[in-house]
Amino acid sequence: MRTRPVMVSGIILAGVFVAHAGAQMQIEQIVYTGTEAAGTDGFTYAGFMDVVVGASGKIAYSASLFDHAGERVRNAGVWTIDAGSETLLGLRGNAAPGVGMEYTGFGSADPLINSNGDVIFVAEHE
Amino acid sequence: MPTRYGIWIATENDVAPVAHAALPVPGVPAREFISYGRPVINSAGDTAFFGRTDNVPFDTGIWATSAGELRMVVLENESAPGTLGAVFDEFRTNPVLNSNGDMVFWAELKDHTGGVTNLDDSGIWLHSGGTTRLLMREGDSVPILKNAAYGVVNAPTFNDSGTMAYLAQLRIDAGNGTTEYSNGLFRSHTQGGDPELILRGGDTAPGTNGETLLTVSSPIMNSSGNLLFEGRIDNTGQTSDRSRALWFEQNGEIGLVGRKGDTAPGVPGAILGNFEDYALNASGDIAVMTRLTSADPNNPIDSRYALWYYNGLADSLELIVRTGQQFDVNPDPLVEELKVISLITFQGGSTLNGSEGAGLNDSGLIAFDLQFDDGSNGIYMTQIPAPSSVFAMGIAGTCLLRRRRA
Repeated sequence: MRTRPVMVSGIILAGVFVAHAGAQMQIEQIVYTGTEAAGTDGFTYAGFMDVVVGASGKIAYSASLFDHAGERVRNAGVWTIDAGSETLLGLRGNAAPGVGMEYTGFGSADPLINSNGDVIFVAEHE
Repeated sequence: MPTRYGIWIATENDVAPVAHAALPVPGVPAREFISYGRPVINSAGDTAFFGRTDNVPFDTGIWATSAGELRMVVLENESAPGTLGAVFDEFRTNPVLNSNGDMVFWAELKDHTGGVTNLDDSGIWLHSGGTTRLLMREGDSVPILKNAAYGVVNAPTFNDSGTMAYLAQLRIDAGNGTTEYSNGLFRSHTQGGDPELILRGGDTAPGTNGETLLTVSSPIMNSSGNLLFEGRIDNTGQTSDRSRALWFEQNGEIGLVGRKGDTAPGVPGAILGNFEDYALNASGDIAVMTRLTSADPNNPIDSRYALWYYNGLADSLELIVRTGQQFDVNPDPLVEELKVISLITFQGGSTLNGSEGAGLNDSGLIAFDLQFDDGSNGIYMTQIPAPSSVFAMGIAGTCLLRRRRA
């Protein structure tokens, strides 16, 4: 796994404030398209899917990326963000542990987090 | 070459496979997994999933890991415990695994095996301590309803206490050789005892003006056994579509969370549409995604979806975000960068058994994805203010209705 800090506080209520006619909720931006995705050597996020939140506030999600040529890589990988630290769990083209082959996609990743922060996910492989 | 799938677990320092096409399939030698349902993981790190192998006729089954070791639980075409020689049909739904390692699963039986017909070909089984036993089956008498039998049974939910909730069709012998059909929401315990009927089609819909509930849907349950479920209401006599509603249940008391056609709080000119997705946590917090429609068909609104939390104190939905809303995407409080929300994605579900697969956690944090009109999107998180859970209803104490006991 590759981990790097990200520019989010990890503390709720520290982010974007949204006002509307009803209740006023404070909403924190966790990650946004165009930012570099951890563990990708410069690929940037193009879109997010399957967003779930665990007991500690750890978030798991799958995402599509833009590569260095600006081409969209769909269902590219699975990441977590926990207390401001972003971690790559699996990436298309990286070795799939225990298989001896590469991950080829994360279209049905559907990550799920247990109370210890472990994340289970489905991936496609060669 | 067909797509091949695997399941992995990422722990703090490692990513390890649970199952994949290159691993032996326990119980089905010389074959490989070709697909899986959504795997579940409990607080101990044990997992369970239904899978499909490339073998025929032993095609599908349920597998589980305990202490990292993959084992087969049940297979299609295998003898189904608790029946007279019937065998399991294709597995199509995810099992539910609790923190004790007990598993509940729904399955169908193959017609014409062990005398099975289409009147008794589904049921719910418990797998515990290495053995599997039948908990209930289509065609069984419903212990708490006179002249009633279970019809088609749906996949259950199940928590650490062994409490199970399920939706089942009801076949009621109305006499004169006629059968009336309904459906009911039940809660029971895997250790035995009569099930509790929470609500059934034909009952008065809680929180309405005596209107009739037509059907209920499969529930979401939390660790306390509280339920969140949707239902369809008889819309006869209504001037607008009021046919859907969402309720929560706590210890036999049922409260209305929202109803289609209700005024949408905080969205001028809008009313609630269908309930798209919803989540319930252990504290009784509820998050809901709904459609929105215009209260006046001649005066369209710019919002189609909204995400809410349920405020138990005020007995109302509180708006979090809605499509069509201008939203500042710049985290710098000194820089405003407004974009219009075009889509909200929120994952419903429950936080059962130390396993969180929804956009709401037990602390009341809600995570969701927002897409904006320029194609950009982001993941956002907010906190449900405390106290707002359904348990706060005990303080407000106004809208809960105690249903009659069957």
